[in-house]
Amino acid sequence: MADNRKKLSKEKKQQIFENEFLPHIDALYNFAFHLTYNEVDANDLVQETYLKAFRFIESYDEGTNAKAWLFKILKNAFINEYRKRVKQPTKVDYEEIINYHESEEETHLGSLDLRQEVFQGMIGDEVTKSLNALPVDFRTAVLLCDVEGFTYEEIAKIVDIPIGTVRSRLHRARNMLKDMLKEYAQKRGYEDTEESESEQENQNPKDNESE
Amino acid sequence: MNPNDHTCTNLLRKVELALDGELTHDEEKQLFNDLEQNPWCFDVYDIEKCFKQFLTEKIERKRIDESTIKCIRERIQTEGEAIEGNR
Repeated sequence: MADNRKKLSKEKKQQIFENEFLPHIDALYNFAFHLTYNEVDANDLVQETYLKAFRFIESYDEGTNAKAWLFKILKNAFINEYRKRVKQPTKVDYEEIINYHESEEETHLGSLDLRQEVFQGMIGDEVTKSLNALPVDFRTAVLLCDVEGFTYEEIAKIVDIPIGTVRSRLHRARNMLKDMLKEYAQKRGYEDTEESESEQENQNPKDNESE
Repeated sequence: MNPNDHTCTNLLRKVELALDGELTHDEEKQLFNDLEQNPWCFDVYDIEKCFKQFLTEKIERKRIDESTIKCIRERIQTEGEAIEGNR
């Protein structure tokens, strides 16, 4: 197999490392933290990512998308090494999740009005807790899109899945988050306008007939 | 407009793409023209926009310790010297 790696001087490698790789370290650490839920493991994962990036720096095309390249290395390191090391289960029952969420897919749209006051007062902890409760592949989609601002194409490359799968994972992940946030908000007095409207309709069928 | 209406459902699928910046300029323009004719869908656009903004703003962002950055730099330095030594 042909080796496409260029030969770079030590100084050039340091320059790429400092100027193109290191500026993304907080974003990588944040991603690692949300994958592992643990500061020590997140630190290890980021260190491993940067060491790998440096070892393969000659395969990187200077001035291209360093952030996406580093995220891909981190994602692979997480799958290949971290999960093995901590012996975490890698399989999620996607069938169950997909069936459940496909059956409710359309009804979620617009059913959670975040313009209401109760959501504006919600602190980051509750949102982060809900995010961390998502299965890892769905959590990854939200982190890469909504937190890091990657395009669907970039996410597809980082995670190694088709763009259509990115789209559906994001849609389902957001629906799951809406469910969790709604449940939380209801405990704080949030009233779902759609649900209360349909309750009213059931209670006063004659009123609705006359409209 | 009924949320189960076929046209509305199609529009709402595009709303998520629009908010994620995945539509072309022309597609986005077309979407807004269509949304203007469907007030219920337009309201949903507003709600979905708010939800995306909410996630972006509220999800906790962690920062790495300076000590980890220092440690990475040291390991890179050592590794770089080892590679040079082997050449």
